[in-house]
Amino acid sequence: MAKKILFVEDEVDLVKVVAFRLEKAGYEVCTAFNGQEALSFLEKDTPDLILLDLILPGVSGYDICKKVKLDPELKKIPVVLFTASAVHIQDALKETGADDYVIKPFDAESLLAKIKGLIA
Amino acid sequence: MKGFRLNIRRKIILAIYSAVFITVVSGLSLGYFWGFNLLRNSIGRERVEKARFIAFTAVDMINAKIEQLKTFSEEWAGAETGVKEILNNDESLSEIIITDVSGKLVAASAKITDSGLAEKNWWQAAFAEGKGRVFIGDVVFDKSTGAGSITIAFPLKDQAGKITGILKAVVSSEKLFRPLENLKSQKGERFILVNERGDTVFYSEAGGSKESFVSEDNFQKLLLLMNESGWEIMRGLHGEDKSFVAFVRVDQPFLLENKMLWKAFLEEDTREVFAPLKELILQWIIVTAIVIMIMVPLGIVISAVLTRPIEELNRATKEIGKGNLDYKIEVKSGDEIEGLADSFKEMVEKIKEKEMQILWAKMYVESIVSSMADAVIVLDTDGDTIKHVNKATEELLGYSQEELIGKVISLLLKEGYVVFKDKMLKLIMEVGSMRYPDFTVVSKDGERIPVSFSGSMMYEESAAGKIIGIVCVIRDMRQVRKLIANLERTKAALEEALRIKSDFTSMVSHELRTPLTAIKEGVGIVLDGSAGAVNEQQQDFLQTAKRNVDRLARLINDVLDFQKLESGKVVFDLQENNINELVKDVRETMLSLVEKKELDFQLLLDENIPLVKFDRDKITQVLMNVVNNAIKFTDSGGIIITTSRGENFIQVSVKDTGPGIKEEDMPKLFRQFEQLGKGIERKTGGTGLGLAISKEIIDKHNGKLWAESKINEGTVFYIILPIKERRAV
Repeated sequence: MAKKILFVEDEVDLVKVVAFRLEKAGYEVCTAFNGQEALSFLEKDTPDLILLDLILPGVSGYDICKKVKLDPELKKIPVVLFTASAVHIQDALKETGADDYVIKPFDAESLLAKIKGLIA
Repeated sequence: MKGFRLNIRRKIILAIYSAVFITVVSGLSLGYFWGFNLLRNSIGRERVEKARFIAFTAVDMINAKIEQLKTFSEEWAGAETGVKEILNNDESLSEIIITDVSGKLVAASAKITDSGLAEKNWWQAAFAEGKGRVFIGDVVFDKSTGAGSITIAFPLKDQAGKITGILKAVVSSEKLFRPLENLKSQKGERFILVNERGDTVFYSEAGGSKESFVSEDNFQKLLLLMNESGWEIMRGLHGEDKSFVAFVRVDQPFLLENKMLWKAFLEEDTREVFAPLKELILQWIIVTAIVIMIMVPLGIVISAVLTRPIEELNRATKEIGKGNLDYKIEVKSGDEIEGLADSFKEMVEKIKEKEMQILWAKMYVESIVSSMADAVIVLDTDGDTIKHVNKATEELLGYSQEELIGKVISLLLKEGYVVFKDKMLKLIMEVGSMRYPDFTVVSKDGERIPVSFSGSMMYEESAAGKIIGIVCVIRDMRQVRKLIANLERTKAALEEALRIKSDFTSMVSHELRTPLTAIKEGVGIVLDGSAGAVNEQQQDFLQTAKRNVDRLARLINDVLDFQKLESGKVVFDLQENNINELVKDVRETMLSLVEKKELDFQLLLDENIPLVKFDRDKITQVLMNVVNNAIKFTDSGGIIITTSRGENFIQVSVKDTGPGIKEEDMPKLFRQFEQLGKGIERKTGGTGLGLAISKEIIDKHNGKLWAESKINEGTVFYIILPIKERRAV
């Protein structure tokens, strides 16, 4: 059974190309375009990994990640953060308890390598 | 010439007078005293001679009387009558007796018995056993009249010298010697003839009636000196205190034969005797007076001559002391005083010179103070009263100098005076000088002027530590305050602009990233055939697209990097690192590139290089950048990386054999977006930010990054990092 990745990103075009890549690599990709959607998804389903953009309209990536990592059932789900800014990424990791990150613009290989590492 | 109780002229006069007075007066006195004594003695001697003369005359008178009576010796006939005749004619004779050689009476003036005459003293003495001599008896005084008489007896001789008889005569001494009075030459002169017992033989004053001098103590003393002659001043016979008495011994042979010794006294008034001495004294007084009269003006003249130069010098010193340095000293005495005056002139010249220097220095200082743009106020030692102000003070505060000098500083400080007096002044006095950048003074028209106020103690240069006042320098801060305010506004605006720029850059860069990721991924998907097969031409175009997307991504990264560095948002991870390790890593990474271009790549590493604190990743980034550039621009030859240590830094140099950088391009080297080899750069996909970022990183490590280059020979990049850890920003 294919591993399920929740991809939370408000940029539709980016979601489209990245999801294509992930699906090509054999993952099942569920998408959420804002924080609210992501949270609703998590109430119903449990993904194997979450790809999370930090900057989202409404509920931010920080809040989602914190919520996930504080939830006893969800906290085992690895979270990879997306960010356009490398400046505060270390702080963000510490604050949210996320497992890894990629900085935009990223290339598909490195992203896939990281995902592979987290959900073998 | 005032001021001295005993000035030098008076001293000299005194000295001259004393000297002359002592020598002249003592000389004169000695001379006169000597002359006086000489004269006195000669007068005394003269009187003694006179006394002798009188005495001898008296003796001669006795002799004359004897010669007169000798006429009886020849014939006795008529002797009786002759005797009576003589007695009648000569009142000095009172009795005459003549005997023959046998003592038989021949003739007598009175009736006497002719018996025993030869037995009488006088007869025996005159006969002298046939030899014959003159007998003189003692003076005998008549009881009733007191008149003295003397018995004379002598032998009468014939022509053959044979004694024929003896003649006795009684002579009244008073009458016999009366003619002696004629010898008195001066008033008050008295003559006395006494015998050895002191009986008066003759006294010129009392008709010879004074019987004896024995009772006179003073004369008794003289009588003891019978063998002497001389003179004395003593109490006189009439009771005068100081009578002159000359005395002389009458040593006549016939007196001696009769064992008799007479003495003659000549008593006179001393004043009369010594009258010539008075004249001498008068002369002495006159001569002394003349000497003194000559000496007084002479002394004045001499002292004037001697003291004129001193007085001139004194006057000169006073004039010069009063400040009249141009006073001409005219001393031409040709002695030490002239020398002194010359030295004094020299000294005055030096003083003038010094005074000029002081004046000049004073003017110099004054002109500095007055030309100062800041207000300068000098206060007294208490820091209260204004002693001096400069022009700038007048201009700043609107008061004139006259309005300020002598006033209390509170006039200018108003309520600030309390702070000044209680705090500032104390500090100034303790520390020596103090500056208050934020103070206020009040001008004449009431404006409160913000000033910077500095106060310093003013010390006298020569006397160590003596305070002579407090100097206050007041700088008008209105203009400065305005400028500062302007600057602050400008700075704020600038900071705001920078912040906006920074935010904008950040925002734009971030916003670019998301679409770029989509493009990149989209292109990637198509290119790797995931979305279906692509032909060769399509692939080539897609490659071009991918390359430019990558370049854009690098550019955005670099811009963000640089912006982060510049705005200080990057925190360096400073650890102790060995630079050699980094260099080796860089070589490892770059080796494939170098080999591709067939270039040499050498490392010359100082194995003893110390560990230095730096951010490993950032310094690696710098090295990569520099080495990457070197490789990019070098087509033949190679790269040499050298590490070494300096005194307090380590150095890495990256040398290439590239084309070199033109001198005029050097300043652009580290600027943002400057690409010197535009063509190559574009081809190699550089962003134009690499060196700018590198320099920023090295600067933030307190290091240095620079390049040296020679056209056609190559370029060397130097990186220096300090050994001693300093605070990296």
